[in-house]
This record gives sequence, structure tokens and C-alpha cells, in this order.
Amino acid sequence: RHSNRHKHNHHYKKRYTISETFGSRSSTILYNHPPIQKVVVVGGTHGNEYTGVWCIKALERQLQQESSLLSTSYPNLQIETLLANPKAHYENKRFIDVDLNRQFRTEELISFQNGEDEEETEFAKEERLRAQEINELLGPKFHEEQYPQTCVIVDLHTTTSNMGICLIVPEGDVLMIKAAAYVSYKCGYHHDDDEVRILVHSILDRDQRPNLSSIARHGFTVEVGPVPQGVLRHDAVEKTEKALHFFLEYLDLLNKDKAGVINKLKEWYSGGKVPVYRSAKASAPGEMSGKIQWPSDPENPNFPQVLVHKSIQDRDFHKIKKGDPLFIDLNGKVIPYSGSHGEEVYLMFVNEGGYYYSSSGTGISVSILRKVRLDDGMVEE
Amino acid sequence: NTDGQTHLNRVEMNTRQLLVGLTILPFLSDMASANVPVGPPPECPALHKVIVVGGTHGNEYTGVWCIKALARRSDELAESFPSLNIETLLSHPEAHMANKRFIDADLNREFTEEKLVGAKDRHPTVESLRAQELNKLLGPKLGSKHPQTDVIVDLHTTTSNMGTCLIVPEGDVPMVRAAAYVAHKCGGEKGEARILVHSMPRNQRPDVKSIARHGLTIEVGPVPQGVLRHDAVEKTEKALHFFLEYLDLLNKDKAGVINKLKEWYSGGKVPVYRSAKASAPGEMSGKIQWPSDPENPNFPQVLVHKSIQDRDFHKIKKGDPLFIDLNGKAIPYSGSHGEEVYLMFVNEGGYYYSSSGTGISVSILRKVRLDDGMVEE
Repeated sequence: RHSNRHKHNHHYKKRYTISETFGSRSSTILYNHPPIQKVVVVGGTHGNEYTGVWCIKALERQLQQESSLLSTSYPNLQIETLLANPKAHYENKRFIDVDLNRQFRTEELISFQNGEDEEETEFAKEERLRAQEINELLGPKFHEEQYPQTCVIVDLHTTTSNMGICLIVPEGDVLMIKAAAYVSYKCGYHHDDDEVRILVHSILDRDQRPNLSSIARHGFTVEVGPVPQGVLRHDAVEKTEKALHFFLEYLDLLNKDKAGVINKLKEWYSGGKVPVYRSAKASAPGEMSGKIQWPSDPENPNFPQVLVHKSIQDRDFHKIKKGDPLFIDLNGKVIPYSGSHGEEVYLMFVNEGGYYYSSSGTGISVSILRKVRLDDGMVEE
Repeated sequence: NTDGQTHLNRVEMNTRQLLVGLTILPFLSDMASANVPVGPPPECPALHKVIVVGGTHGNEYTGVWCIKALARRSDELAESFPSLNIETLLSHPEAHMANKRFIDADLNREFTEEKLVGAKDRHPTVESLRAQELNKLLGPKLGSKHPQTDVIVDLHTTTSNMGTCLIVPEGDVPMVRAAAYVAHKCGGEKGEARILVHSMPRNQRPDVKSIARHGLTIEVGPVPQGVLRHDAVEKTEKALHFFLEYLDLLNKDKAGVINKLKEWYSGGKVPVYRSAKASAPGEMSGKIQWPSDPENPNFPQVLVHKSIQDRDFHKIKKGDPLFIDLNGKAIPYSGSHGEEVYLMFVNEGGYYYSSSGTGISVSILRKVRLDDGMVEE
């Protein structure tokens, strides 16, 4: 462990100060790039989201069989799998110490590597150690001259919320925006086959993104729900595999017939604009998005002091307005939406089990419905 | 009153038969029927001390919420149910704070006579120690002294689509009747309220509620583990309310409530699901097991097939799809528990653990008699 931490010590200390705005420069480097080849499919970033683990096991099996459909379906791609948080997975826990999917901000990766964390000397948090390992395995996330080894990470997640298939991509990442648009269409967005939506997080500076998939040049999350934690649902596995299949198909087509697939997107989305949900801005660094928080039980920080009101339960992507019931407390008193994130907002991750933990960001997610432009991956106001 | 006296006589008769039977039982173990109820003689049939238990499985948050809410309403409860002395208890605080079903082993399997008595000869687990504590607090379950607690009602949730399920031991007359009362008040089958009966002698029952003289479990689903659902809390509170109402009425106007039951259930028989016989001692009920991943015993090697997912209390027959494996191959029901059975606890998260008994639960639909709490074949 010590040797890893000090290996690149002097090199990084010399080159990177916190104040360097690496973000915008990295965008130019990363988005004018050679064809996509190395794709890593990740499961078990949250140890109790079993579906992703099942899917990568099934994928591994197919990759090992030369005659399998998979080995011939995406000839231009080099596909690998990774079990992100094995320790948490074997314990059937979301995480051991802290949410692994919040540990990848560049600043934090560097400071841990440089041994700059005062609180963590002997007993570093499990996930921070694992983040370093993953950075080495799949990255490095940050380097002036070198791309991360991995072109694309697709991270498989599930939620206890009723969110159907949700494709989560960063605003500004043109490749991923287009991929999401492709997958969404193929999954039946246009004829309501499956509930499929695109969610855009607006953290334009890649270095500020705390999630695992931000290690690669491009990151894509497939989020399927509702699925209980620590449980495998056949239908959720099918939805995940369907989205994954179309995602890999898109990347493969890009290598074979880029013009063709771009034309398809133009056909499908008039004006080159795609409806997306854009999450509320994160309130603090290291968060993915803003939330309507709920108070926690003083005796147990992971136990809420209120229930999510039944009128919004299972109603992800429904609009809620100021004054509508939001929570109900132990005395049976209803707590209404204050309008804190806007007069009218769309709720998502409604009663997500992972968001009972402050490490993941407590509360209900909030978003607004917008359009994203296919040409530059930016959300229109 | 005469009806109460008749009831008492009948119970005394049964008890005498029981005591006779008990002396013969060890010699007739082959013929010993799981139908013989074993329990303390009902010298004081009135039921007053009720403990509402939550968090027996630490990540079943609903029960914990309900007991917190209940603790705030003690004045209201005393007014509504004056003959009852109602308390609450957080069953497994350590597992609850960790948001885990259990730490070492399922607490709700620790109360067999064998485990309670044999604890000192075994390596202690978190749960075996807690079981001793609970036995002291609420019991003792076994021995010549009566348990301090008349009734335990244990609040559970399941990830399976089981609606409201009232789980009672066969032969426990007050509890079978209570379940019948609650099920009717909650709307019966139409209201997704059902009764599930386990058939084993009291000393073999492994669950927390078997500590008291009588026990009833309220099981509500589907609810994910580690999550609170408002609708599940409401269903639990509704069933609990009617249960307490029944116990209070029993003390106030027994004849009246017995008559109500006769009105509601023609012939004095109530439709119930009877779980398949447990295949091993210390299990609650028989299950169709699934193979586990060799590298991770808590991870299944198969998926529950989507055609049975969420279809608890639907019939399945030999040959119907049951599971699907990593290669996408469907595995059919072999008929192991009968040509046609009812599935329940379909894809229950707790049953990914061998400590709880891995697999899907199986039951058959029968009728239970209100007069003696026994299931008709």
C-alpha cells in the first residue's frame, strides 16, 4: 500500500495544484480522439445492487466462449468486466465505509495518493483505497499527456425507486449523449415499450465528477428500477442487458459506419434535440446532484425521521408542485414540498434505499425536463 | 358465562389429552404428528400483556417505524384497548443499526428448545446471546413457569408481493381466531389479507414470537429491505389495530366476538395457507431451494423466473418455469412439493441466506377450524 501511495508522489506534486483548471482543457483532449475500443462493463459499484453483478457474470461467460453471440456481435470493441466493490458485495452492503461512487474527484484521488489526508493514516477508508486501485486499473483519470486506458466505462446500477430504465450521462460529453439517444430510441422510447429516460448531470468539469465512470474518457450509467437491494429480478436483468446491448451496438457501429448512425439519430430526433431530465445542481462538491433532504433520526443517522408520502411513492418523473405532500412524520403529520428547488419539479430516486445514507446524499432527487443538443451535448435552457 | 365455561372445559379436555399424549410421544416418534400443539396449560386464559416487536430482522425497517410511532401513542392505546397492557420492543438493535438482516445468524431461528437450552454448549453468536436476553425479558419460553408475556405480535416485511399476511401456529386457538378476525376486517383475499399457518409443536418453533404464550406475525410486502414505505406502514398499522381490538374484545365481550366470527366464517372454518413441512429442524417451513454461487453462498446461481415473480399465492404446477440460469436456460418446477402448489415468499431477499432457509416457500390451501385451531386435511 505504501509503495503505491508514494510511487508517483513527486511527479504529481510537481505538476498538479488544486487551482489548475484541468477540466476544460481535458475536454478538448478527450473528445477529439481515436475510435472507441476498450469498453469496461462495471457491476457491483454498490455492493448490494446485485443485478449488475449478475450481468457481468453472464457477460464474462459469453466473452469466454469463442462461439458465443457476444464475441461476434461487437467485433470492433474490446470488452472487459469489473466487479467494482467486491468487499461490499460479499457483505451485501451498499458500501463498507463510504459510497464508492463518490470517491473519484481528481482532487481527492491525488490528495489520497500524496498522503495528504490527515484523518487517514493507518486506517484509510475501504472505498478510498479501492478508488486508487480502480484508478490504476482503468485510468488514470488525470494525466497531462496520457489518456485513461479505458475509452468507455458503462456502470450497471439498480434503484429501489420506480425509475424504469434510466441512462445517466454527463452534460457536454457528446459521445455519451449520442449513445444515450441511440439506446433510448432502440429501447422503445418512441413507442412506450419500456420506460426509458435520459438523465443528465451537469458537472461540466470532468475532474469534479465523483462517480466511478468518470475515470474513463467517457462514462455511462445504466440505472434500472424498482429492484430491492440484495435481490435479483429477472425483469431488471433483462432491461439492463437490453440497454447494454444497444449501447455496445452503438459504439461498435461508430467504428463501422459513423455517418450512418449519425444520420439515424438525425432521423429519430427532429432538430437534433433530445428530451432529457437534468438533475438539480449538486449543493456540495463530491455530490452527484441536488436533493430534497429529509431529517434523520437523531439516534440513527441512516434511519429517516419521516416517511416518503404515499402520494409520491412510485411516481418518479411525475411533476410535483409547491404545497404537494412530500413526507409524513411519526405523528402522522404531512410535510409539504416547500418549493425549495422550484415551483414545479420532477422527482426521481423517490425513496431510493441508498439515499438513506449521508455518504450517498440523503433525500429525494429533483430534476427539470429539458432538451439536450446532439451536436455539442449541451442542455438548452 | 356458560360459553366461556364450555370453552374452558373443552380446552381442559384437550390439555388432558395432550398431557397423556406427551408421555406417549417419545415412544411413538414415528407416528408423532406435527399437529400436536405443545404449550403451557391455560390456567389464566385471559390475555393482557402484549408486546409489539419490531426489527427482528434488522433491515425490515417498517416494524421499527411502527413501534416508534406506537410508543408515542401509549395514552391513546390505553384508551382504545383498556384491558391490554401494551409495550413495544426493538428486537435486534445491533442488526438494525447496521441495516442488516442479522449479524451472525437469523435471530428468528434461535428459539427452538434445542438452541435455547443448548446455547451454553455452543460457540456464542450475536443472535444466540440476544435470544437468551429476549427469553429472559419476555419469557421464559420453556419450563414450569409461564412466560411473562401473554402475546407477542412480531412485525415483519418481505420483498415478495404478499400483501398482508398473518402468520400463526396451528393449534393456537386464540391466535387462529385473531387472525381470522383481522383478515376479515382487512378485506380478506380481496384486500390482499391472508392467513398462513405453520405446523409444529411449540418447543420446535424457532421464532421470536414463540417465546410468549401466544404469538402472531404480521408480514407485509412488497417492501425493499432497508427502506420505509408509507403504504406498508399503513397496512401493518391497520392489521395491528384490528389484532389489538380483537384481544381487547376477547376480554370485554368474548361471546360477542366469537359470534361475529361464526357469522363471518360459515361452518366455523377459515381458508388458510399451510406452509409445506420444514425439511430440517430449526427451519420455519419447507422451501424449493436454489443453488448458490460457489464463490458467494449468499448469491444465487439462478434468477427467479419472471413468470412467477410477484405472483405469490398463485398456483404453480410441475413443469412450469421456476428459475433461469446464467446461460439463460429456464429450470422448471420438478413437482418436488406436490403436483400443484402455491408459491409464497417468491424472491424474498432474506431467503438468499442459508441461515434463514434458502429458496422459495411453498404452501397448500386448506381450511382451519375456529374451534380447535387445527387444519383440516
